[in-house]
Amino acid sequence: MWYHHYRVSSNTQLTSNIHRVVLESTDTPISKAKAGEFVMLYIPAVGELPLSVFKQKEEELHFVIEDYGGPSSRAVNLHKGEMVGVRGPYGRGFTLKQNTNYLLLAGGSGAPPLLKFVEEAQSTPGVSVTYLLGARSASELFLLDEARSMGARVMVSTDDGSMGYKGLITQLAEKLLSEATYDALYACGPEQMLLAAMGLAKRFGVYFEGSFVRDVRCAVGVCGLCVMEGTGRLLCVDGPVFSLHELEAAQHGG
Amino acid sequence: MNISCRVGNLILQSPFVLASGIAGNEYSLLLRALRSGASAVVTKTIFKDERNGYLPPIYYESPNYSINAVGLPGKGVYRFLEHIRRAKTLGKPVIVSVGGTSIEEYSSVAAAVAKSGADGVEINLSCPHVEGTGTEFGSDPELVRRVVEEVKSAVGDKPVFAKLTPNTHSIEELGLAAVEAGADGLTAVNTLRGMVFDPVLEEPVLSNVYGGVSGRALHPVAVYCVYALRKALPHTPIFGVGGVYEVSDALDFFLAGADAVQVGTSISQRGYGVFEELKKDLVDYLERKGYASFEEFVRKKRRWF
Repeated sequence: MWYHHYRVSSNTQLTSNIHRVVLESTDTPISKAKAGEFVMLYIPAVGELPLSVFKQKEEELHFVIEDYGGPSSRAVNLHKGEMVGVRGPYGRGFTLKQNTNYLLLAGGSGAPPLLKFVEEAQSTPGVSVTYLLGARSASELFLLDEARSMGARVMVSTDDGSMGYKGLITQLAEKLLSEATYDALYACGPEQMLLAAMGLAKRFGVYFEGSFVRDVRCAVGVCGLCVMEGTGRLLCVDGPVFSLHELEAAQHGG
Repeated sequence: MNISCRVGNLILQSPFVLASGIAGNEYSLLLRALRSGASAVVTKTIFKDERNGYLPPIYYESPNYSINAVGLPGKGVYRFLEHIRRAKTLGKPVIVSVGGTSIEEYSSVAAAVAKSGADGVEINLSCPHVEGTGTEFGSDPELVRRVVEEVKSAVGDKPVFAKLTPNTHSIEELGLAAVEAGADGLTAVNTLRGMVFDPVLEEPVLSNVYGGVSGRALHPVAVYCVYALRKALPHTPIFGVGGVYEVSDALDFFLAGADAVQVGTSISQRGYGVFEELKKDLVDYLERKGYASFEEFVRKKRRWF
């Protein structure tokens, strides 16, 4: 089955441009997605867009969608009762291991896969999670209670200092890394933030995984458009989550 | 077991080549295909200028076929030249697929890639619109002749393959036109025009509404096309392409007269590992049947010719 069909059951605005959209299956639901895996959402007459799964129950799929133009502008305005197609889940998500101290960096709309990771980590023995959410200003922060209720230690950074640490999320992370020991640093957000987080992980000798964004069109590894330049890796099947090691092969043409 | 083969003057370590359209326009992905066992690669079609292609949905798959309308996105020939040079570092042939919306564009792109080290040029003759004709370019033997002539004179001694469309009443006519115009070989075939709807959403599954069918449904059509071309052109090098998933699919093409096959759509299900599997299964097949080499198997006289 290519498209699994869903009906929109709710749409809640979280910030000026970020919405939480809940879908309910009308035939067979997609199989279980791991944190970081994604689906293609088909909005009839509009188009398809890749979306990270935020929450998944038997018949329900939850997304946190940012309006970044194109079909996403329509996706944040999906209304109750509308029918959509969903295919996936695709790709490889974040690795979850027992007895690990995780530092998670979510930049703006990069939060959903990491919130799903927090949920999965809850039931994993010996895992502790520090979840950082960064944004320009307090009005752009969302779902902090969600992360707290799942047992994560939550901290925020804002560029303007209107809430939490004043500065970039990677600066906050640098502070935390120099104060305590973490086993792994996972990040999702704008590429510049991911590269800075990768730099931190290298400097502090911490295992790194980051969820990246590329031009995903077929999502099954045949159109070649989402290649991670220089690595020979495709974001849709080999990612969207890549480890430091996988990306470093990049520079050597590996 | 020696499974190397010759397609014109290209010497291939195995008869399994990456088909056009799969590995994008990026050298690292072409290298991945070659490192995964493809004996040569055909690049995605390159045009003179950058093209965005179509927005998703651009691809749909069922167990029996795939359909796509990707819209030939690419970075344009001048930004691509460096990728040809880098893809050649493994010493395996890199064949560049060239496109055009005019005869001049085809020949200027072909000239540029040949100069930058392409080991061969495959002409994508299935472009829907050219010089305002509005018909499918590659189904007009006269236009095929003109494009092949110009491209051949632009690339010097580099082999030129004409990739033919099955959307025609007579593929032999297209093949003959291409060969008479100087094509060194043929690639058969491109996708079949088709259309698919999602009945629940009551929508086409492609943003372009219609597209090209590949995979299992294309396979017997493509095998017949190879056979028809081989009958008409006993000595012309031919790549078979269309729905190669298992070695048995490749054998269909060889029995129909193909010198080698190109693999594309099956990568969505089998990944780039498909090349090593095909090679291993071909070796097993040839040993089981007592052939001394792949060459011996393909040169055997067949009563259907």
